[in-house]
Amino acid sequence: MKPIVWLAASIVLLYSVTNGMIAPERHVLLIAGAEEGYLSPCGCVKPMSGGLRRRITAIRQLFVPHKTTVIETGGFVKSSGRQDEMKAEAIAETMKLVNVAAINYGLEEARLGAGMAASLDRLSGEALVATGLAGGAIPVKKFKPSGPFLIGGIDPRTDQIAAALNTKPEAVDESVRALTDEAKASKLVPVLMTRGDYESAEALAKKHPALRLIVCAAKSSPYEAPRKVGDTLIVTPGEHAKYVLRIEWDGKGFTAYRFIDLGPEFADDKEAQAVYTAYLARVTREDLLSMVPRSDTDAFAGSAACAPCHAAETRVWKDSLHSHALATLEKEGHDRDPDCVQCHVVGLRSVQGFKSRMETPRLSDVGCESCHGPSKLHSMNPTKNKLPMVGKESCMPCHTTENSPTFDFDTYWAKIKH
Amino acid sequence: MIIALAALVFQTQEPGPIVLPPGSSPEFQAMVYAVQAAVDTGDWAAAKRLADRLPTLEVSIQWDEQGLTENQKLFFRQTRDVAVTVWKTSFPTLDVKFVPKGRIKIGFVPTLPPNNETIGPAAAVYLTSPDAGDPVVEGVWALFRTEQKRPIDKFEIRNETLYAIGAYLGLARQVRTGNLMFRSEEPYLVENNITLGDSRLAQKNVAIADRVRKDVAAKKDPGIASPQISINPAKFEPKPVGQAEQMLLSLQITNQGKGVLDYRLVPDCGCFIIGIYKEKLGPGETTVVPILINTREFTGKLTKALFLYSNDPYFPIKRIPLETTVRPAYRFVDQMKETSLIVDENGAKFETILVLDESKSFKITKSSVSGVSARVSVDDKMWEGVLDWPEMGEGPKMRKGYRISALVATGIPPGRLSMQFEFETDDPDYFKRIHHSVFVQKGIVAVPLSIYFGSIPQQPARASVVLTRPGRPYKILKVESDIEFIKASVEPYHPNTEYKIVAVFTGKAPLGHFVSRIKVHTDDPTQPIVEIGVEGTVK
Repeated sequence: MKPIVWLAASIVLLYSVTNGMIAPERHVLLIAGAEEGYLSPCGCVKPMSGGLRRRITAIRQLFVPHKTTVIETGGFVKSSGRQDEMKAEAIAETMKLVNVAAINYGLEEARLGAGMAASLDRLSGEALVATGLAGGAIPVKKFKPSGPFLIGGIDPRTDQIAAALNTKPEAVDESVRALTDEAKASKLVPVLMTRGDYESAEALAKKHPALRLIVCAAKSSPYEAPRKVGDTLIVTPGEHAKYVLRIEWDGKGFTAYRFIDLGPEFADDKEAQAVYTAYLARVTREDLLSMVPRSDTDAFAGSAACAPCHAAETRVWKDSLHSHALATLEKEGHDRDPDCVQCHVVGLRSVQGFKSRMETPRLSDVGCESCHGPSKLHSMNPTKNKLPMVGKESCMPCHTTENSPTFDFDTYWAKIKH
Repeated sequence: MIIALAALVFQTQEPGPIVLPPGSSPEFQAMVYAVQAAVDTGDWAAAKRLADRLPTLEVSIQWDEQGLTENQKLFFRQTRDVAVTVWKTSFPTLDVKFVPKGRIKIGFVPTLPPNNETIGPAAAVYLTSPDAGDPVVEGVWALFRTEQKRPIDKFEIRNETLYAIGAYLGLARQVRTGNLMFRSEEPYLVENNITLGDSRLAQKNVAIADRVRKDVAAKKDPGIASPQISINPAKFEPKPVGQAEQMLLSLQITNQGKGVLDYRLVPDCGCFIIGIYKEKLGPGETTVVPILINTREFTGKLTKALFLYSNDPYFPIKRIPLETTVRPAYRFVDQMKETSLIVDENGAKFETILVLDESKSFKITKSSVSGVSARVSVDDKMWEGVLDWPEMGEGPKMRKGYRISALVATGIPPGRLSMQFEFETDDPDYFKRIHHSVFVQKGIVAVPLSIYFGSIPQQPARASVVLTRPGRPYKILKVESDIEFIKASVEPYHPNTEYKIVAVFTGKAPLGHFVSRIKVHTDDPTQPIVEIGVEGTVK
């Protein structure tokens, strides 16, 4: 028989055997998390990956109604300032759009205070879980059932959480035991999210073999394949909200593991876009840019002051993307977001530096002094006040792998060589 | 004329032995090696038959519309033609025609059975055949997809068309979304596109196929030999280093096969800095690729990988994991119980220890603080003490560093502010300047600072904040809202130091965004009124 005919026959046979026989217990688990304050690519350099809006698009595409559970490992923010509060609220709100079942509440959220826990729980559709904290001062659940799963969440940094919330969390082992006992009693599959790393997840898997899936934290992309300790699988959503994991429960075990890299090919979800726009509006309305802590430095002159003596260098600068770096942000609507603006102007962290395009027009965009430092004294008396030579290290604070994934000094230097 | 010239350029063969490019599909590679196997046995007829199955610039597609309605026929044709245009834009000499019997066949069925990749029915199936009477690539597309029997979408028609042509041109399926050769059995409503690399690869494959056909027609041995890749190590597990210290790795690549090995290295992380390397290795040739890990910006436990794409038919993709630890050069251990430094009428004293990693010994030469009015000082004598380091999995141990103190002035306004420290050091390189920040709280503060309802329907909803002043009791006398559809109330939280301020949205508000305020009256004469912002969007 010709191969093509044979294959066609196989399809017909397979179809007749399996049609209508998809095991009802099959269930998809979608896993996201580890935002670390990263809500969206700035839009300044392409291609950047990740972000809430693409994530919601991906989750909606992978969502099989009545057969999907979405969980989020938390780690919304890195710090605990006003912008972090807004970011955390925006993340919680977007996750509600896809009916997130559980969000692991850990140290990063606890540092925002107990009042914030209530806000995040409400905005996410009461999804916060903290297996070792429930029943205390904050409105979180010990675990949550969803589909065939019972989902719990822990953070091994119990001492620091206790300090942040003025409470006494359970020991990690007690929390995990409570999860596996409850899962056994209710005939559900225990799934644990932890803020610990792979090694701590591995230790938990050895100590609590009843756990079927552990979602841990990692400074990496998701694993190529789930790691296995006994019957327990260990996976991670990676870092900086750049991935969504998909894994399937077939009634006996987890299977069909995949991770989706949230590249620019994922269009922004409209509802998530509305939440993100509201977040940017809040950042603008509360004028967080004007509240950036500033240190005292020498005065800036502005790039125009350099032009008379450094005409050739100025021409190179004018032809570069640096000379209209702020406009790039304005186009993306990120021009009042301190996270983005600091790398698109001169001296945001200095009392002498950029305030707004109106107040300090000469310090808009990435200028000469972004790399060479404050130069007012130099411009007034160049021979007496020489500027130090700068090299590759002056690029690195902004051209991080996060903001500038394709940065390579030699290639980029060639564009602005002067 | 221009197209004809371009076609000539594309069809021109590179001199020297045939080297299959990395990224070409296993089916294409297998077919090329099968031609060589037939030549090696002297079976020129079989070699010709197989060589004729390799891709050409003429892409004939049999578009079998059986089972489609008239509306579907029109819609599918229009969408498919868009995909063909995308291909022709990237590969101008490609001549795509729709014919009754073609080298690509596309057919439609109502649904397909599940496969290993999907929870529900498969979306499409692709078959390749070496037999002369069959299409080279046959795609069977499901008109209804997923368990919900969702009709095929225009994105899917476009992507499947791109994929089918790509498969015919010998491109391998890709795992990265957005790539023309990415496909999914699940709903995948993303527009895939062709990169310059994809079109170059397709052109290379066609050029190789043309040369093989030409050689076989002339009964000339095309001399295609298969490379065999060997790498060492299979996994990078370098010893831990301190932050900003050099971590230099080497990857030895050897070609143990008989053909030229063509490969490329693609890291999954910006922490890899790959040195210049020889991309093609002749039989028996070996090279060492220098790899530097950026330990400045990447600290902690790193689990990353380097991907090696090659034309070794048995290992077209190899993953080389990297597992290591980069010890952070320093950390700050704040000496306070709360998450914020509480400032009263006497100001506040803050202490932190800058703990240095054992591999570091820089000294602080200058210190300053911004954000709040404060005076900072660093002890002259080095601090020594026993501390654990949970983030690095280390228990208590003797460590060294500097004790830093700050006296915060009394005159800061009520609220939460960020106090930012900047230290200059005598480190010659990366740690010239280091920063640390701490939150300072003066008086009664709302956490979070405002009540955010988010997007809500015209139905009652409730939200709250916690009003807090740790360690200093106060009383709330009254709360009031400045807008009628927000009702404010107070609930006790922690005895006399924390209260929950509750905002109830009545639902009776116009559509759109609203911003309002709740005024909280307290018994503290220095802060008789605390204002809390309330906002949301009624949809």
